[in-house]
Amino acid sequence: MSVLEQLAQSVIEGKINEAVSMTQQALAEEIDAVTIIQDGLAAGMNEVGRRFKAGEYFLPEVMVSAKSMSKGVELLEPYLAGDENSNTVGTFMIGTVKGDVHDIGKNILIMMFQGAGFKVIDLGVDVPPEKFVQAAVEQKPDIVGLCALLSTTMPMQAKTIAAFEQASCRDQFKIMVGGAPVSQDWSDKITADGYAADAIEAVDMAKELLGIA
Amino acid sequence: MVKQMTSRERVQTALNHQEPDRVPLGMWMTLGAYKNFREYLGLTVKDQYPPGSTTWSMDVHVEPDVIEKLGLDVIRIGSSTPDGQGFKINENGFYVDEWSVPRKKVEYEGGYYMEDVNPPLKDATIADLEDYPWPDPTADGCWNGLEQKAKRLFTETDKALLAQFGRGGIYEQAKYLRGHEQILMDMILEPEFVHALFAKLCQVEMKFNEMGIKLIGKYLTQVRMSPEDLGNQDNLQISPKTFREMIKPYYTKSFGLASKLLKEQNPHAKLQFHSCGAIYAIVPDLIECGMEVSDPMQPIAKGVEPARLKQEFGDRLSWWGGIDVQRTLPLGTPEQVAAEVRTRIKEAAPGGGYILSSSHRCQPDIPSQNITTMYEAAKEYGQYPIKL
Ligand code: B12
Repeated sequence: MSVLEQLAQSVIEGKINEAVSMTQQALAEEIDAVTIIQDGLAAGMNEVGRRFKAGEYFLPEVMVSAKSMSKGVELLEPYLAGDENSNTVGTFMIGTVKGDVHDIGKNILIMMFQGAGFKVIDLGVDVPPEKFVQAAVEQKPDIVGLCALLSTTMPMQAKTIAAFEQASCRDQFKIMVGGAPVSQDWSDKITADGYAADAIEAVDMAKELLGIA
Repeated sequence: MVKQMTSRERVQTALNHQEPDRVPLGMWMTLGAYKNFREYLGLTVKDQYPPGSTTWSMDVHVEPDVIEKLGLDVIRIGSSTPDGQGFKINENGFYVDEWSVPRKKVEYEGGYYMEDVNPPLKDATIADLEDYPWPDPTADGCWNGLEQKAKRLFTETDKALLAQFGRGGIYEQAKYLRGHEQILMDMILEPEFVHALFAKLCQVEMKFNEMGIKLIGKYLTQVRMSPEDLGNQDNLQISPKTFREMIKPYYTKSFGLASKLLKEQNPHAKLQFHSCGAIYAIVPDLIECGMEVSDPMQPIAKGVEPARLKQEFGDRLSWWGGIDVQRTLPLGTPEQVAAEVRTRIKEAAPGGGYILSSSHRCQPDIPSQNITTMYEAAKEYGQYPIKL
């Protein structure tokens, strides 16, 4: 197995220390940081996502794998400086809407988007519509994701979309919605650009929206 | 035509897997929904109601006047916080519950939730667990007035009484003490710590149940263990294997004790266990631990389709819930609500073993009319023998 395959494997198996040492070894072999991420860390995380969707992995496995990946990414950060944007497929901004603090699903989404090569901006939980709009206008993501896990906070997805309209910048961003009670019907009703039931579908949908599928 | 039963007989009969006169009806609500609903019914509305389930959950015990008015069958009662007071406010303005977990108000349209911040055992080691200020299940505050209340409700009403004594549980409480993501990772990275924490929490849960059951067990039809959310929408949070290694041993102990003490007081009473979500793979384990009533029946989570559950476990298990709070009740028309009630009764009610209610607490997003429609439809379609 090549060092990158081993690195991917250590992410899949959630071996944090091994992910760190393999990342170091890959650097020592003078593999460039972007390749280490793409063919090592992110490749591993994609497999983790697949296993999660297939019901083979559960939350603990996914979180420990994600931690392994992020430890590796941390080591690579100094080597990525400067060309951060040139290598991303797009920027994904995500937050859980106002009134809602569920973030486990959102955090899994973040890992998968990072794994797929997106730059991710995490606005956290309980995010009011104005904050989504302000952050989007300032940081210009390609896609804004609105997460809601409660039927009581789903209407806030609609309000957030309305806030983009009011600020006359709705057409500058693709808006995706998701979370347990959300459905395609709901997404259509509130005129979101896309809905996905899980993190893997979400990444596919995002690529489709950006025309890079 | 089956002879008309009292509420208590109705619930008891259903939970014994026999057909009562009609499907029994239960109700659970958050504070905001409850206030709206009382107003809708033209009943007096207070500013605050004491917490029902856990201190933070915004759950209320629906009062007998609402239950009488709608013809429901179950009254819920339970312990209070050890100081009898509920939240304390700390120097940072957070609300601190009896587990010393700080919480803050998170507002949404229609009310607020109390969410955990800064989990107190985030960096703890096993040694730290000994000195932690665990809530004291023997404190008077937990039990003040409960015996008189239970006795009064038992003699003055014919309703079934469902009690919850535990105030946090094992896996669930660990999430708040340790942090949601941390405890999940700990299952793999720090299993010894998880066992030490669960063992401690199990002791507390067992003592709460022991105290409560000895005090009022003889009046009860059901005891509900502290709620534990093991499921997500489409799968378990943790694998069946992890469940069996890390959690099941503690449920075996704590359900086992509660069940034994309860049956000593009232041989017909049943043990009810709450877990949200897609828990299909561990239902047999939970039955083995002592679960007799599974709460809630959550129709749109994956793998726990009511017809499937009924078919596979209907001879051993009863359910509470079934009417969807994620889509139908908040977003549906009254006709859609009635149609779902009809379907659910058809699937879950034959042979007994089903108490109909919302699939989680009713929240303020549910129109009051949908709530009354749910119960009216249930009375219409729920007459035994079910002919739908
Ligand atoms: C864990 C949990 C909690 C934890 C959250 C911890 C945390 N830090 O996130 C705590 C205990 C704090 C909590 C609190 C509450 N909860 Co809660 N919770 C859950 C539970 C059990 C699992 C959620 C979860 O983490 N799933 C795992 C992740 C991986 O899945 P996911 O979030 O669905 O995300 C995936 C997809 O949906 C999608 N996705 C997610 N977001 C997005 C966004 C976009 C843009 C896209 C494209 C896709 C996408 O991709 C993700 C990865 O595959 C659900 C049960 C359920 N059925 O979902 C209840 C549930 C959501 N909770 C519920 C309730 C009622 C509450 C409370 C109101 C309880 C109360 N006080 O009464 C509070 C409200 C808190 C608040 N203000 O938000 C109800 C909601 C019912 C309703 N009416 O909608 C549920 C459905 C439980 C039930 N059986 O009814 N909860």
